[in-house]
Amino acid sequence: MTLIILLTLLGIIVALITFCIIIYNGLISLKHNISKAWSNIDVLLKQRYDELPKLVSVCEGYMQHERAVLENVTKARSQLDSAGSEKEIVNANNAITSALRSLFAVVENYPDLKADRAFRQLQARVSQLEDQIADRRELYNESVNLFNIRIEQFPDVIIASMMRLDERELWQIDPEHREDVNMKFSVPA
Amino acid sequence: MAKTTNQTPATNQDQSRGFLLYNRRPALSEHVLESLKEAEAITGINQSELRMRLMGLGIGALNINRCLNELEDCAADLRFIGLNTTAVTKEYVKNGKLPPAARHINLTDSTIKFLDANENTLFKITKESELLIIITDLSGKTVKHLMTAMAYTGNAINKTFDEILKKFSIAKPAAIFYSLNGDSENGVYVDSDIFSYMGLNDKLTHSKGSNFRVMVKEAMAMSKSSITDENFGISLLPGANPEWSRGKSPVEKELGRYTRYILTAVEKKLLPFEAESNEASDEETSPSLSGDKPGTYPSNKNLAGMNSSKGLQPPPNINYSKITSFFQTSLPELIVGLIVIVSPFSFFMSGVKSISAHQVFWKMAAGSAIVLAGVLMFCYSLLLLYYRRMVENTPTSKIRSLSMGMVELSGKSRLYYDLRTSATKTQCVYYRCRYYKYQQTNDGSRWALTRSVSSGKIPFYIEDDTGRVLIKPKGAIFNIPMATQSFQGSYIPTLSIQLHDPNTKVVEELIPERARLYVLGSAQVEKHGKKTREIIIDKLRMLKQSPKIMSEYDINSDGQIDVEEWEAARSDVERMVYAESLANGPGDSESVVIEKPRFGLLPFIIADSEKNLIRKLMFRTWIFLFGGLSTMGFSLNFLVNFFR
Repeated sequence: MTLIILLTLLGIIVALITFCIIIYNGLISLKHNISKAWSNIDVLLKQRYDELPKLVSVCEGYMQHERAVLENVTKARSQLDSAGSEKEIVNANNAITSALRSLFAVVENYPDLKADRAFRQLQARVSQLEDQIADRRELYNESVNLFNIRIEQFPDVIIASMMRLDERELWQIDPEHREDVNMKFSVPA
Repeated sequence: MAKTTNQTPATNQDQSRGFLLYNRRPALSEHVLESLKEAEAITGINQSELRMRLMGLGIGALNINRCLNELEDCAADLRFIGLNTTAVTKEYVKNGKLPPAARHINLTDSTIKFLDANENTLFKITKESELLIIITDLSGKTVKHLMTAMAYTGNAINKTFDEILKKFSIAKPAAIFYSLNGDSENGVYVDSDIFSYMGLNDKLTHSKGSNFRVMVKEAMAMSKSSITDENFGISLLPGANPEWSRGKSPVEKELGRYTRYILTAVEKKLLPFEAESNEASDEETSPSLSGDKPGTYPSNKNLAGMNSSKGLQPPPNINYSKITSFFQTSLPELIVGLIVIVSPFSFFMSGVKSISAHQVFWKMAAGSAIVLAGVLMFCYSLLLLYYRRMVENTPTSKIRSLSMGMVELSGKSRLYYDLRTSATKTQCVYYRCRYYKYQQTNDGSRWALTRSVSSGKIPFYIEDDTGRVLIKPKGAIFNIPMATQSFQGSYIPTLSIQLHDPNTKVVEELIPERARLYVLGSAQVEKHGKKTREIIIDKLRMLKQSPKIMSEYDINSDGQIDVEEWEAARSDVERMVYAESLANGPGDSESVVIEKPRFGLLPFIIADSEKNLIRKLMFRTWIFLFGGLSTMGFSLNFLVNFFR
């Protein structure tokens, strides 16, 4: 009888240890999911970063009177250059998105530029990248959310506290970037 | 136009009862599938039966045993949900008679006159005529042949009308012509055996069959518009199913009834497929009927197009070996099988006196087998727990921005191949089909599985609002409630005819197109076409075969390409190929597919939704965990007592 009890206890202990291992591995995979999601965004940010000088140079030829808008894009790009932490990268990226929105809004006043093949291609490429960044940002936030929920849930919270896992920050849009772009159209005489 | 019985006063039970007529569809569009539930509530016929009845060619009838007023309400309700339906009374159909038979046909350049024995005109076709033509074969041979071809190959509808007409001409062809110019009671019956031709002698031959073909083609060409019924009077219409083995006259009698159905269908605009035509504008899968004359029945060519779903290719044949099929069985089934087979067998063997010398061995074998089964069940429960955590922990990606590696996707299933189930030819993205035969044994009777077919590895798409990606389901765990349809006997899909046989049964499970889908798998880049190295070799081979280009590399003009010159040529070709591949990008040569992860125990699961999957995995985890632990406890107890 004692042997049976011992065997049952052994079984329960094995089950508990395995359960803990699964929780531990799960938390590790969640942590790395966030890193992977971030790296995947980084890939797209780099691609967009590479496209910006081409876009600015195409626009410069047509938009002589919109230096400020173009400078904003260049400034935002250089901000990304100097960004080190995740938060700085997020801010720089938000700035680029905002600058691009302003640029594309102002382009409405330049039909010649809008008709330019190179510009259209670049605009399509940048818009495509923007969409993909938005999707991946969503995925990143979901990964962070899953992680944050998991480390506060029982029994994961016990292992998470032993692993000293802290809550991660979501990628939030700056309130100023949520404002609509002020579009002004010049009426041809 | 013929007056249907819904305008005829009801005098007896038959008059007050009837059928619902509807136009069948070669492919069921999304809105039809979505309406099936409502249609089930209206008609009382279950969705799976309705799905089968709606698929096919021509018109169909539903006998739902209701009085005419209720039938008309039903038809109105069905029309409201997008199923073009009308009611027809039994009495109207029952009284259907053939129009007068023509004895002579006078073909001229501008008219075709059908005359009786006294050469009085019965019917006339001119350039202003709008015709309904019903063609059939009185011998039944051609019809049977076509039915068989349709049943077993499913591609008879790819035949052109000319081809089918040719086949009829070889047999005993007959046709019924009705005028749709206002008086559809005005018609004529033409039996190729009992009439003779007059006029247009240059187009006629000594063969009755080929003359019949000429007459039908002339009639169609001459008339302003025509609707040709190409279902040969054999559609699954109640009371209009000719028994071909009983000779010519029953066929003729049934044809009279059949024509009443067709006339009602024409009057109620079921035949020209107007609803299908409207759908084509908003449904990608509904093929366009453009090119048809207004008011004409779609030709066989159109129907072939409709059936092939946007020109999708049929899936390739994939043969499964018995070993592969065995390992496709899921792990729980293997474990349960192990317990069920090994344990009782061992217990039995340990109790057999004749092998009493080996009782110890068999008891140990039984105990060990159960311990092993318990351990396996326990391990499987942990694997399920791992899968559940994986499903919970993986965020859902958008297809547009899919990254490589383990991904979770949610969307709707879409076709990659024109995949159809093996029995009913229902279009789907995945199916399993089981064939049973009723067998009498010493112990009684049972349904024995004779054949099991699955679409297995055939890929399909998953689509969300940002794009679509190909799923290669090889090795996937399907955890999805499938639409099930079963019937006894065999089924002719293209005609929606079910041949009843109480001794055979078919159960079909399928995932239809646009089903809600959840996929957890590995996103991989799949390369198509030739690799760069192979392209370089091809180009070098071409270079060698072209003396003109080779001479360009003959720098010292000695008429020979030495090693250095060849190296120069080779590096040029390499540079060119790499430049081309850089300029073109990955293009079509690379695509992302979702498949089973290539290493480890990473899961590849296809389910209906994440929520349902987690619920099922959790349930199974607990079942296997407790099952495994208790089995281990029981068997260890047994072994310990045994050794004591």
